[in-house]
Amino acid sequence: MKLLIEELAKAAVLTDSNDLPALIQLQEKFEQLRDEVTTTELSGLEQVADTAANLISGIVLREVDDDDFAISQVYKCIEYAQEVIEALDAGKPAENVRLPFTTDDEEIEAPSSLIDPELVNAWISECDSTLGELEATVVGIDNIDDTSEPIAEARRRIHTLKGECGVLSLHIAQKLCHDAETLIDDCIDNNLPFPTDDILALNDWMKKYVIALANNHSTSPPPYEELGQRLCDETASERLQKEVSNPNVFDESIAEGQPDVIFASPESTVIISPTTSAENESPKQPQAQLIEADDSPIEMPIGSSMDDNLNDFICEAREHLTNAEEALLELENDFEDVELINTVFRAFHTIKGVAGFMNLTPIVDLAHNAEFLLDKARSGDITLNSACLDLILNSCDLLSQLISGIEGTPLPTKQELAGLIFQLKQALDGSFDAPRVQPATTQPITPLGQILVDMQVVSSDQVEAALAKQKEGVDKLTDMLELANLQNVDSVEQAIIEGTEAGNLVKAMILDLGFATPEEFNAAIKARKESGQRIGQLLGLSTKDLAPALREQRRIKRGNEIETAGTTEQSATSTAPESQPEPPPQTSTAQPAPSQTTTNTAKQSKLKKRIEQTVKVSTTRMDSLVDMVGELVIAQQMVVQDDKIHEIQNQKTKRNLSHVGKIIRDLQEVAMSLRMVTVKGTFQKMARLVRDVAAKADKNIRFEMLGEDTELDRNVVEEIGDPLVHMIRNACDHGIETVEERKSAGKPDTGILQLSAYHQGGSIVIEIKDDGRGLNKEKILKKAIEKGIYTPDRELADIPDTEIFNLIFLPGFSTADKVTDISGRGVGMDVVRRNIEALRGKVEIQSKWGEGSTMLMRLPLTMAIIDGMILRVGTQRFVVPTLSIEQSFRPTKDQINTVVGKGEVVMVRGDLLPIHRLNQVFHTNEGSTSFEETHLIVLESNNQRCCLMVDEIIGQQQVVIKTLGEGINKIRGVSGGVILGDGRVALIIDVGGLVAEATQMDQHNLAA
Amino acid sequence: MTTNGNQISTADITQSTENINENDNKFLTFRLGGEEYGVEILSVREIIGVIDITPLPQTPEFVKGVINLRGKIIPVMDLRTRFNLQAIDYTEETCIIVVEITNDTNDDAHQIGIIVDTVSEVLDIPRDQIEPPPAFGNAVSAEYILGMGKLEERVIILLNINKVLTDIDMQAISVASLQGNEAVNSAGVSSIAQQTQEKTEVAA
Repeated sequence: MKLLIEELAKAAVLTDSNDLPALIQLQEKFEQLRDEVTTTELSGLEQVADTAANLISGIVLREVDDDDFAISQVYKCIEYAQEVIEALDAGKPAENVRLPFTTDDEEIEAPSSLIDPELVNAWISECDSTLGELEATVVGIDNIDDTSEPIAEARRRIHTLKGECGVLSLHIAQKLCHDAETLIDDCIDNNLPFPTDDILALNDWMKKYVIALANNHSTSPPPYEELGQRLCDETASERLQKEVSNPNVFDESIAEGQPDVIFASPESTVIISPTTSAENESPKQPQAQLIEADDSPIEMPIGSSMDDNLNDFICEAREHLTNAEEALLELENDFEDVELINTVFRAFHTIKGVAGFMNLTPIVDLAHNAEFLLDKARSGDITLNSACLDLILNSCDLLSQLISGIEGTPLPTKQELAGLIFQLKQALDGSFDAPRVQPATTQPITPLGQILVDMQVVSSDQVEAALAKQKEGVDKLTDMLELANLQNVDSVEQAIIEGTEAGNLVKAMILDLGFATPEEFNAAIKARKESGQRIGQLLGLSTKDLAPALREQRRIKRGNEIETAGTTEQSATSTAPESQPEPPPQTSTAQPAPSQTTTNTAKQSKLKKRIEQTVKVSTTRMDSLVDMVGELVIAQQMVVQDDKIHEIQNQKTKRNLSHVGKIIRDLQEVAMSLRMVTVKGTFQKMARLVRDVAAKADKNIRFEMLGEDTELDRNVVEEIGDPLVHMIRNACDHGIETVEERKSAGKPDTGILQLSAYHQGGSIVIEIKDDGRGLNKEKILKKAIEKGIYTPDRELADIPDTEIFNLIFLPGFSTADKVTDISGRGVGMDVVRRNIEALRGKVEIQSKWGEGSTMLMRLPLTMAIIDGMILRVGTQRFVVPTLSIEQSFRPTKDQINTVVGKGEVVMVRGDLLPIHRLNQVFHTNEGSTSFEETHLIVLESNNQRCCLMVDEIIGQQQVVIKTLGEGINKIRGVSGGVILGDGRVALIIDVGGLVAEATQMDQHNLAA
Repeated sequence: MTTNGNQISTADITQSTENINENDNKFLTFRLGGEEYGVEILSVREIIGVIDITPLPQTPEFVKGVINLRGKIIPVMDLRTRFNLQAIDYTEETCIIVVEITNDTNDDAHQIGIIVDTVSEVLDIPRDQIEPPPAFGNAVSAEYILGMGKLEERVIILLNINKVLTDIDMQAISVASLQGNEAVNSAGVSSIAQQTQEKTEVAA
């Protein structure tokens, strides 16, 4: 039976849906297989063979609409049969092998192995509070009259959630959030009440999901169908009707017999929904080579205990993987950079070695296979392509998941591991080619040589001899030899074009070729065909012998082409000379060339950096060092300012003191620099994001990074991630146009997205620049008038560009015609602005219609220092951020008036401003009360101005912000504390809070 | 006053002394009014004399303010005020005990200073010398007490300092701060003792 299945597999791969005799032969074989099954144990096999036979007869009799789909189903049947046989060989019960067809209906997710478990963990811990806040916001909406602010808030939160889910590949959660947003929008548009219950249901669901995820990263989401239904179906119009007939929407729906809608609470949905985890599994990868492909978590044979070695291993392995990932992303620019390949190889090798020592078999297996592939690449036996890189990246991710698994986080399933290992092995044969979009489901393209060998038309020796001959032809392009050796269709084509044409046109063309998927396929097909004929000639074979093999390749290609859904027929091959030297047939790739992730300068700096030795230090130790240096500085200040020290006249002592002072200043500088980290890590995450979004939106985007070695305070770097995600998604989705649009606009097919960081005037600027369509001023203006922000009669030409562009930061302001799941609701930019402002930064937009836009984020170098004015009231001192101060003056008595109902006011440059006495607001019970002895400071916050009365203005100083300690709740009007030169603590005044507090107090007093 | 014949059931101990480290029965004792109190030595970070305290607005009366503890700002609380004892002026003997407490909601440890009349000594109080707190008749509510440590002729009130410092109801704080504000507003007194009296009057 085993033999029969093998034959079947071979025959099936060679079968074209147009080749009737072959099909009939295949059908017969299936029937034979079905009849051979005797034991009930293998009833699954029998059933599958029967299905396959029926499918084929369907194809033969032209009953099936979609031949390719039917064939792919047949493949699944064969894969299943192979699995069964393997299971039998391994002495395991065949029932464990999953039947095909059960998983085809729905794509269900779990955070895939592509996602860094750490990211998921971080998200989970954050999500808890986010959901809590969302709940509070939503619940609050019912209780107030002016709902616009909380609704915007809720939308913001849901939007952010959606974005995060997207990044983590939690597609169902993402979809639900998306639906929820649509629902809210509908309700707003139709002036309906906010769908509180639905959003709360979503909230509950998310909470449940997050809890499940916390226990197991690859868990499937809780039943979501009802919720999805509820969010989608309750469109505004339905609601409107319900609203009319019965104000209580949900009572009505009970009457209509939709009980699940009402009971979408977490507990009951479990009962209602029959969805089991089995059905929720991601589409099966059929291959099971080493490990039985069930979906139970991998058993990690952890030794007797978590000893020190294991901890070290985890730590080191993570570091290795990070290095490997970095190198892999760079490899995309140059598949042949041996140094980079070596870096990755070393990482895998070390992990394998140590894991082997510790008996961590799954890690060893995976690392070994990846290493093997890399070793081949290193020695030049095979050449990497982006599909291979994807595979190795996946291996990295899975490895890091496995490593986290040692620490007790949930492990990926055996099936994931087995699938990946199989793919790695395939890649080793040079036969792996999974399109980036759906790596697991597409049929790999078998190289022509392989097919010929399989068909026993030629021997493998012959093929190799032919290959050698072919290579000679390529040698012509001496300068591009390296690329040509890639044995990679698109690279060779690039080489050809670069060799035969010149100028900018050529460059653009290469970009086109490198990124335009459909063209590439066409080109690849043609090239393949040609090369096939050539190899045939070389081998002295007749066209007849070759035909089936060529057809097979074409068929697989066509399959892939459909997958990637390209329609542009404009073939790049037309631009490529027909007389091109044939690419060696070993090539198997039809991949879009990878997005460039780094520029050359970045690469050089990285090489340099690699030499630099680093020591890993725990953050707590580092923080305590920084703290201690801070103390030292303050202590030194205290010594220097001491009166007794001032009295010393001895020159030597003075010199020594100043020497100590200098050392301490240097020390402080070094200590502060310890807090600084490069933005590289964050930028690299963005590279991945662009890659994913571009693939999803079917756009060609080249991502460039500049200045990723720019250093920022660690806290700031952590905080800019979110806004960056939003802005980059926007740039990819709205900014950069599709290939067609770009073509008609006369731009190169490939859009460029540039992310750069640099210093400018004491702050750090992070710039996101795209060469897309730019912001449409007219459209924004139209929308603004629609929304009532501007009146149409206003002289629109007078409005400065910046003001118009800043409109897009308004919550809910979007000019997008359609809302996609990437962006389009006008929520993202609101998030951006809020986050940046929370960092005391600023966002600016520059844009020119048709030429692209640039977003600038100006950030302070560090969150820890502000420029403050030190004030005194009585014996206490306070610090007010200098930014909030407009002016200060000593008032005369006749400037001050007391207005009934408003308290004391003062006339400043024609404006009547209220006076707040700091000692009253803060109840310090000290400080002078008469105006003659005081200073008034004019403060500005949120466009409100007021005067603050203090005893004395001591001076301006850069101060280090510190929190007031965990035990203290937030105090209105105080944003933190600073330690002054004499070692005492001064409070930093939060101007907005202070004004609010003072106003409230005034009203309180007046009422009393 | 020996407790040998007076064994307590283990259940009682585990219930009331769950925070006591099994291996360490050492307590730092201090005086507050006429009573002697103790806190687990493991939660004590350091002891310093009273230094400049920057008062914080809008905080309960017992939050004296914040201090600079070697470059770090930490809040300090007056334990006398916390336990509604008569406030007194600080003397040479007055100390700030810096304790590390953990929040129940998150495991973050943070430091808080507590102001006590005077620090006495570190005592080793064996398990079997600790009795459950009396249900009544004490300035300190029973829930803040781990147990009553007995040593020869002395009785030491062992505080659950974590509870004392974290179990501050949010509502209570805002109410207290509001009352405090009013009290200060109306009177404008400066002495701590007088302030406290004012407050109790207002509260009453």
